[in-house]
Amino acid sequence: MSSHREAPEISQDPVADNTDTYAFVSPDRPDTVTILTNYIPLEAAAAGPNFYEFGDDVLYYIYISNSGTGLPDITYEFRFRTEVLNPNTFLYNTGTISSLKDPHFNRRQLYSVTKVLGHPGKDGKHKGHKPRVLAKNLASPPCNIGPASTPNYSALAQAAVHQLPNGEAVFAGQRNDGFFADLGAVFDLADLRPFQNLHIAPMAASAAVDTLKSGVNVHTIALQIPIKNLTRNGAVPTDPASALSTIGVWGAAARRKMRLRGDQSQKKAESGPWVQVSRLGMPLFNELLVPLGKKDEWNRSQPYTDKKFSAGVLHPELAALLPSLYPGVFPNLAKLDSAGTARADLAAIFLTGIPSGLIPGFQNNTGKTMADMLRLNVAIPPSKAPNTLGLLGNDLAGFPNGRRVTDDVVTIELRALAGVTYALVEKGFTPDAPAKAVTQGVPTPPSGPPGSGSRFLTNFPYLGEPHDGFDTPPPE
Amino acid sequence: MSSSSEVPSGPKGHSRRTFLQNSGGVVGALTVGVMAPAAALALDGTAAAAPASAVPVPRRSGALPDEPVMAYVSDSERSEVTVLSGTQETTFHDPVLVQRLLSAARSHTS
Repeated sequence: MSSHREAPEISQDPVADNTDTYAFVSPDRPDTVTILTNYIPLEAAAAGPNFYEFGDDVLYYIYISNSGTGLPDITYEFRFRTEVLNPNTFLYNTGTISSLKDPHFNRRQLYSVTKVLGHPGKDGKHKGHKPRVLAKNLASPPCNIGPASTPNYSALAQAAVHQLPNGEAVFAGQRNDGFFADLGAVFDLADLRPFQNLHIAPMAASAAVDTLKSGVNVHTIALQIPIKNLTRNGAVPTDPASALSTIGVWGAAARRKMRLRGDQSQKKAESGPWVQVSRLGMPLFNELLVPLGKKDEWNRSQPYTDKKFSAGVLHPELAALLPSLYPGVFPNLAKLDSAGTARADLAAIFLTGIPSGLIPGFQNNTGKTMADMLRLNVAIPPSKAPNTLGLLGNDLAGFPNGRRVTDDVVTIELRALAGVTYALVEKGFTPDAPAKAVTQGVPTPPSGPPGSGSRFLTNFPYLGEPHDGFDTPPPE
Repeated sequence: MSSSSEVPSGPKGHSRRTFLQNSGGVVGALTVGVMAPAAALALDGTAAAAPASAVPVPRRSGALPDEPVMAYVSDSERSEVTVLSGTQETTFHDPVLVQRLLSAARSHTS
């Protein structure tokens, strides 16, 4: 999965597990960038009575780097606080929730948003940049429980979109998980169903399965930020070739270093500095490109130190496995792998951004510092006819130029790993014909307005409304 | 590496024995405001200016965070104890304190 349960330690800590990060120029507000960071993988919609929520003991971050250093220049911090109006009931809601202030909304979450400018020092502390609290006590919507409890979920969710002082919009709450993938096939030795007749353990080819289609929710922190607030010089870039046009984005979560578990004589307590336990920029980075023994270290480390993980990008394990898993299908990729060729194309996509000269009219390079960030060239306007294959589909506004909710990142990365993008940096290389056709086989789910039940929305926060617990799974 | 028995006495008549008598416990030893004879040395240099033989136990100044002060022996071989308070973390070299904590830990296994 993009980053659902992608490392041993964080798989034990769902509320801090950053599952997906998105960043794109907002299609309906092209003077802004939307950034989404998702947490809590694989939420079952009916999982009451204690429905899913953000961690009061977790510090959530959205980081933006605009200086080409791989260090954050702008940080948004989110802290949550849970209130229980009536602790003498087991009920999450004591009646129909008709507004965010409804007294029947018994267990609710409020949050603060703080903005910090500048790099942290090597000790992790910001020097000379006083954090600014942008808002306090912002309401999150309830989870989508069912027609008796949350009959007008669209209105509740819309009321939970808040405006911040500098033009930002913010939302934090449950959403439909927009990650679409055939997880069963991917994790069964990359046995992609449309091509499993070619797999080393062959079966008849079949249609792919969208594993997360049937009722999986997630918790989203969403920001929509004016572009001028994100760039190094405070301008709205119009030249895609300018270094000022590209920003790097990633999400992260931290916990206090020490926790004292409560017992009969003492409540739980925490102390010490915040310690990062999860991060995510590019989808599937830690999942696909970092070996099992280093995944936890990767989650604890900062992007600007990612050079130490570059071996997994330059010589990716999956690219070496594909010719073995699909015998005879990828001969040119096999030669590339056996020659020990460093994959400069993947280094550009995942670690430095794509430099000018490889794709006409496009670059999102941020310099030599190797850092896992979602790089977005904000001078490229939203596409009027988005292609879910992004840059591979000649859509400069799509992944890996940032990431839109509808981008098929699994197929794009599969094709890149299979050698399609190596031809960008080595003109003499001919990708295997199947590499250009390989697909996970899951069609991109449709978008629609709020209340339509669509997986994606056409406006902020773009991820669809969560599945409700009463109707999920649907009655037989 | 110094052991606790090698730590010299502090000034103004505060011997190791009187220090140990005056300090009521781990947190007390850090906050009671007596002169500490122990070699308490902040490894990050923030509280390490005084010679090891005359390091004063800091007097309480300012409010402590509304949460417990936590400490653990981070490296017993080096006599290091790490103290966490609020969002701060400092590692001290303090053979006496570490030996006292290790003695307390040994009592759990006896």
